[in-house]
Amino acid sequence: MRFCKFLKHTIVFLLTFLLGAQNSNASQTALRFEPLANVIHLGDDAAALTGYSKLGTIEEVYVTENHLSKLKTVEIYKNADGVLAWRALAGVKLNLLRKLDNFTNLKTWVNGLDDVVDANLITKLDGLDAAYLAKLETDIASNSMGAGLKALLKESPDDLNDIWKILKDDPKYAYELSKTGGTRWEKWAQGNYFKMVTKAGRDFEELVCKQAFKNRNSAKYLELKQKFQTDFGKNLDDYEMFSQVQLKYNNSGDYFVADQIFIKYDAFGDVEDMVVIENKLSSGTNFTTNQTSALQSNSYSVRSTSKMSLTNSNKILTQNEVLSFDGTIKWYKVYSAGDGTAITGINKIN
Amino acid sequence: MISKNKLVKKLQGFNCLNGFEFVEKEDGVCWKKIDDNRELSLFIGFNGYPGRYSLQTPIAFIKFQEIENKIIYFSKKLGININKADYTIKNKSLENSDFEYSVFETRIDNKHIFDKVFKAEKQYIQKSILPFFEKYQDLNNVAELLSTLKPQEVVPYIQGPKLFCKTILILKEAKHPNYKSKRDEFYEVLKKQATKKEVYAQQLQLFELLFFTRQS
Repeated sequence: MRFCKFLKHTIVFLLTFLLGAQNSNASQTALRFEPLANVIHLGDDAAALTGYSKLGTIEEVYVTENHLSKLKTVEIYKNADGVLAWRALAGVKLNLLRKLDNFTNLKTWVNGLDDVVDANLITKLDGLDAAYLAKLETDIASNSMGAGLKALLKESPDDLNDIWKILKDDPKYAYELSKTGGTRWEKWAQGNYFKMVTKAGRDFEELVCKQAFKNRNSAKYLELKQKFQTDFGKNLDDYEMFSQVQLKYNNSGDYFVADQIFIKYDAFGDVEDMVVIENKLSSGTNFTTNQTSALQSNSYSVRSTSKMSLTNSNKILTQNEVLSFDGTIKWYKVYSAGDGTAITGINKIN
Repeated sequence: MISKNKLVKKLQGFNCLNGFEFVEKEDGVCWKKIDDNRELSLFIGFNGYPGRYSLQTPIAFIKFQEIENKIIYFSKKLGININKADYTIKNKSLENSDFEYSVFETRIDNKHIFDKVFKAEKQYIQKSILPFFEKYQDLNNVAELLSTLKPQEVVPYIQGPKLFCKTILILKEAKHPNYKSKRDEFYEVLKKQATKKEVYAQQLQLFELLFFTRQS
């Protein structure tokens, strides 16, 4: 705390010196910021910042304007011609900074964010409650994960709620992220913290689900078959199973990895229907963004180079082959009790 | 724990595939070779995530450029979408052999399994893939293979609606004596299928253009 005050005073003195501002009657608790006339007061709109880069932030100083002094947080800018400018911080960022007094790392990071360029991130951070802020403080303070996390969030602020929060609520989601290679979060979610979860998910898929479903006599295959008969009036024995198939669901090349996929062929090898099986460590584990998007599509194209069926070695999938559902989509979530050692439920996804 | 690099390095060292170009892909490894009018390719896919891989059964394809070029040319004329990653024939899996396929799905997490799986991959390539490449050196051999098969029996070699046109085109180009009888047999089956599905209706148009008009 003492260090912070010292730092703050030092910055203020330094900046007031730079600005040529008159620093009079500095009190112990708050300093006075009185910019000279040649220091431009910038407007609050984004356009006002064009050409300026931020030099720093001075928290809680008395700003005197029109003979009135108000306690504000001030940002100092400079343009390419060396012209200095300032503006008082207002709105969301100020509100957020006030919440971060107990989160030193977060506060330092947020102070360095640009309130225009990073406006979306600042808003998202402001929406976090104290419990999530505490978790984020821990994560960004981490030597191994912190820098990567900040970069990910700065690049795509929506990921704060769409990915980071989900990972904190349910670490098993890390396994889902690991399945779709190439996602921005894959490396971060493979950090030490998530390794055990990812291994459990992998074991569940490979040693439990795949083994159960490729054996047409196993209890879990028969359970899935029964459900499929009830839900769709079709016989799963007519379908061939493939595992870990990368499937594109749009023209942009976005894809997900189907843990298992059952495909029905006609007599000449044309695809007539399919069933997608998603393996989850627990019933509550969310679908990834890509899986959720894929649920909206009625057909996919194969992204994997080639895949051979595990139930019929003469049936293969080749890259760019188009697979379509016969009528409605057919997805099942197959989950464990959290540890990935056994299948505890099979649910149709609507 | 076995790294992906180690897997790839070991596969790259398969000396039974001399003369093939080795290509590392995101989801496996591929060997390619172009000789005369054929493009040979062999793919071994990976399953798994870092440190825990399994290798799939090798899949081999032969592309006869003269067949594919004709299919592409006439499909385009009709506005039919074609898959450029396509093949002319693929290898059929080993039947009635004592080959243990399950080894290909084994998770490779120690040196013992690592060696066992690689031995099996090599054996499979030597027993199934290389003889396939060796046997079908030209269209005459492929035509001979297909000349007695019914459409549904072609599926292990050519899968999907394209099998009708490709099979008959191979017989035609090879000037096989069964060409006309097979053409008529496949035509009848395709006509029935075309009433059920659009994709077969398109293939029927292509079939007629290829085998019943002067253009081809």
